[in-house]
Amino acid sequence: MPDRLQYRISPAVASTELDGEVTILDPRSGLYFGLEDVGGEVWRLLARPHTVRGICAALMDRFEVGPEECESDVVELLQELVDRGLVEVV
Amino acid sequence: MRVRVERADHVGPDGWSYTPPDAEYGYGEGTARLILAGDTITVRLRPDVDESIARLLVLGPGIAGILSRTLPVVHGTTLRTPVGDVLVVGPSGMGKSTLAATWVARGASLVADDISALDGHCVRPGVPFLKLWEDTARAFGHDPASLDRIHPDHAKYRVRVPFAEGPRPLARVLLIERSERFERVSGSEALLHLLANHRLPEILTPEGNARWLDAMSGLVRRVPVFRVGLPGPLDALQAVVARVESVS
Repeated sequence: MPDRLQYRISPAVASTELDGEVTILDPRSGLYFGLEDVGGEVWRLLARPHTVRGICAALMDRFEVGPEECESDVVELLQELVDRGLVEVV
Repeated sequence: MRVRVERADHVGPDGWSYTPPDAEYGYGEGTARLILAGDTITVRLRPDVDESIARLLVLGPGIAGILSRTLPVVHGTTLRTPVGDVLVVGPSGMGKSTLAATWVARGASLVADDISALDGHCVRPGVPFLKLWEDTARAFGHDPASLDRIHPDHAKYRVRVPFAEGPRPLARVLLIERSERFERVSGSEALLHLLANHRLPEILTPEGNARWLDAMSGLVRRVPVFRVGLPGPLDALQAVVARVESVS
């Protein structure tokens, strides 16, 4: 996953936040998902295009996590979100 | 809003197809089709199909589709009760209408059956009818012979019930299910259950779905939400209603 790629929330997807948890609806499939904690924070960041490195820089300010662990977790989450069509490469 | 019924030999496949805000819904194994285009609802029926199907489609997915363009709509029935307006949400066949009939028999009135459209903090009033199976209609003192059948193949009838005057803010949400449960649920859990009863996410624009989610998360912040298991027997439903009216 080259670092120059930028990710953002797919335009068709709707989401809202309640009690610190992000709830996501994909109207194309009718499926819905919840993201808590770090996942929720990544989702908030993806409201604007971000690279993996940009996301990790923001996360490392807020959570106790090292750069390597952060990058592998973020890459894994982004891959899942992209596979489900919730997030797209700009 | 105009409603048109026409006849055609071929009406196309079942299910939704959509180009928001317009949409089409095929029904009954290629025998009927609902078309929502601009401000017109068209029902296209095969020549051998009973005209009652047109009313079923217009009053169900037709109204839901049109309302969904401007208001968040859930698959639920709303009643005006002594504890305020109660939105009863759950999939078809779970007992929403039977619970509603039980409540009406205790003095509640109907705000909206099966399609509840949120207008601010209120549910917009629908039409003053419940759809009841023959046994349920009889149990509540109605004679099926004097009622309109809603579908030629099913013993389900339109029953006129007392109707609530004007909109009022919702006071409770009940998420109904088959269980013995009766418990208050948190905001995010409640929201996920409401999402499962979002009627038509596919036909909304992205902005429409964002509005829907915002409206529902506002609702579960303001209003107590309960997961409520419905028992089968009618007399046991009385106890559920009494419990909802006594819990805060």
